[in-house]
Amino acid sequence: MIETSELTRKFNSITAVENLTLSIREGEVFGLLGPNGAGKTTTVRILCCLIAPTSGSAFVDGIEIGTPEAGGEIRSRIGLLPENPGLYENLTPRQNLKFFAEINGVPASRIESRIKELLVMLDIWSEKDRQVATFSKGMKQKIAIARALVHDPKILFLDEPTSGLDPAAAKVVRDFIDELSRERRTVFINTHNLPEAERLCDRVGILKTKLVASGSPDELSSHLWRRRCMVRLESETSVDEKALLAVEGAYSVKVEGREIVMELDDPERRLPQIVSMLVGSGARISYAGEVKRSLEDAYLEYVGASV
Amino acid sequence: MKWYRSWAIVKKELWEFRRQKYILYSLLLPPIIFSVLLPSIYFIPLMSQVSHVDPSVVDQYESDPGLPTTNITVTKSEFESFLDNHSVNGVGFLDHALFDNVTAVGVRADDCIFESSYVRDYQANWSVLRDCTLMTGVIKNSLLINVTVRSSVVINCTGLNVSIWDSSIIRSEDLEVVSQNGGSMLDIISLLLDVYSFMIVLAPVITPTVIASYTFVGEKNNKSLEPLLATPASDSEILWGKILAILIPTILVTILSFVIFAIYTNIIFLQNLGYAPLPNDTWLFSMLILGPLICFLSITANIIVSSRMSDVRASQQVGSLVVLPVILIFIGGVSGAVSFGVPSMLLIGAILLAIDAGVFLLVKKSFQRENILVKWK
Repeated sequence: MIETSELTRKFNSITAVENLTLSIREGEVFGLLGPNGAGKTTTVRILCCLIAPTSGSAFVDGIEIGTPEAGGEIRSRIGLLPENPGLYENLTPRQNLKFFAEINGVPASRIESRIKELLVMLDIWSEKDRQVATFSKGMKQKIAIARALVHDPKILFLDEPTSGLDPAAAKVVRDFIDELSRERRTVFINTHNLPEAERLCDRVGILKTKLVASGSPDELSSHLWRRRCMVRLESETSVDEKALLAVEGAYSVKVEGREIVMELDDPERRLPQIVSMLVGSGARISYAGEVKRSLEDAYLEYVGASV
Repeated sequence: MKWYRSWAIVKKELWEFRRQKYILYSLLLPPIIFSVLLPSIYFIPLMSQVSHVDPSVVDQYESDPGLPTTNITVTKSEFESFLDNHSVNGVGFLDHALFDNVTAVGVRADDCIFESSYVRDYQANWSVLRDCTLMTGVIKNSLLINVTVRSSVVINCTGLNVSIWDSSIIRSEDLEVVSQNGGSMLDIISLLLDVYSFMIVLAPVITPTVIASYTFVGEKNNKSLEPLLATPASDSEILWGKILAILIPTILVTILSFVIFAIYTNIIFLQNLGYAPLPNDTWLFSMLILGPLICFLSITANIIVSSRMSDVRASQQVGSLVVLPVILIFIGGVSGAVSFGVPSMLLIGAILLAIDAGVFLLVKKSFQRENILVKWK
């Protein structure tokens, strides 16, 4: 659905995005992660045909970006939620959506029903005729999402969709993105919020001008680290570390007080073996399981490594 | 170019304008200032300075003991010969009446012929006047031969050997004026009429300054440009939408200002001088040609200014400099350096058209998505 090849954008002597090659499938939720100034917004702007790449190529829904005609066609198939909602604050939600429906060429007979459908879905139908300026940030974000969807686009670009929202509002937005994913829309999310990306995205890319890594959140971790397991004992007991390390597929053993942390291949098979060894040696176990590395760990590792 | 997209922008902008009190003020003030306040301040005091009658001339005729006085109303041509060599007062003359050696005071004469007569406080239309003296009145669409006109208004007349006295207003192309003398108050009023007709074009200069600053700088500050640019609308469709959104209300307000100005001015003139001077060439040309051209220039110039400003008020202040060329023409008109005749108005219109085209090309070149997102402050 979105393909880029060696995409580069320079602003005078500053390179914002360098040799970005991406492939995003139809119906996929893709998260682009990266620190401030990494080129995430520039990438979205290029893909939305708002600015041109300096070099490289990109296809959105099979159309190559580059000409004004292609730009118009691509923009009719996408919806953009910029970092700032950028609503017309003097107008009502209904007027905001009506304007964007009209300019996107939604048939006049369909506009009102589409507006109602979206505002009801986002639970703001009762506020449809109130001036946007009087709304909270979360409400504005909902209207901005409705605006991005008013013409029923195939692809959605969401730039920091939950930035600055309170937890409840952020949850509404996340649930809505889940809903979009179930509708098999392609969603491209720029975010700093790593737990959110981990939860929402099928795949993520870490951008720091260049694409540092990409894959599913689990894949990013597995590229960096072996799987870790932890066994917690009921009381401090002397543990034969050498015996544990001798287990097939075990790479390291670290004992800290009552906790034993091991790097293991195939923990599903090896962990029960380790647990029986410990029980056989007289230890009483209160917990045993895999300790997952978060996307945040992987992100910091990748971004730190690329400094 | 899909105009429905531009029209969607126009509608959206108009919704927004209705909620912006500053924009409403900028739309309401020009008709009040230019159409009512200015004529009230300048025309009404000047009217009181106009000398309507030279008493010595009137006395010379009215005290002529050789002429009997008639106070009847004459409307039929059967009375023509009866009135010859009479002095008549408060009379309506119609139906091709022919008069010779008449002193007529306070008359209305349509389709009449006066010879060797003195006519005072009159209104005459489609008449012929030969060897007459006309005093404080209005004569339109008539033929004047060997006539002396004093303190009168002569509109669309033809004639030979006409002497103009006492600050009369002459609006006639084919009148052979052999001598002209007298006070200049009516000349000043006549000039002011043209100058103010032209001055109303300040309305389409000032109003876009306010609206364009709000439309562009306001959108930048509100970060609402990016969602707009992410729609399928082309750069030209967005630009035309913005231009039309400012142009349409401004032109409507300008026309309203001109119409109110004409109605109010005509009332003042009718009450004081007995004729309605508007519409005239300057008024029509200013309203129909100069107004739209200057409005377009003001909009495009303000788009350029707005693209380089990040504060609405700063943008308005810089954008208001567009008013300077109009002020210069205005000063030129008052000083006599610029005439408000049709040829010079056409020249001003042609120059404005060329400037409009040039500035629009500049705006079109700069109004591109990438420039707006990357270079606009």
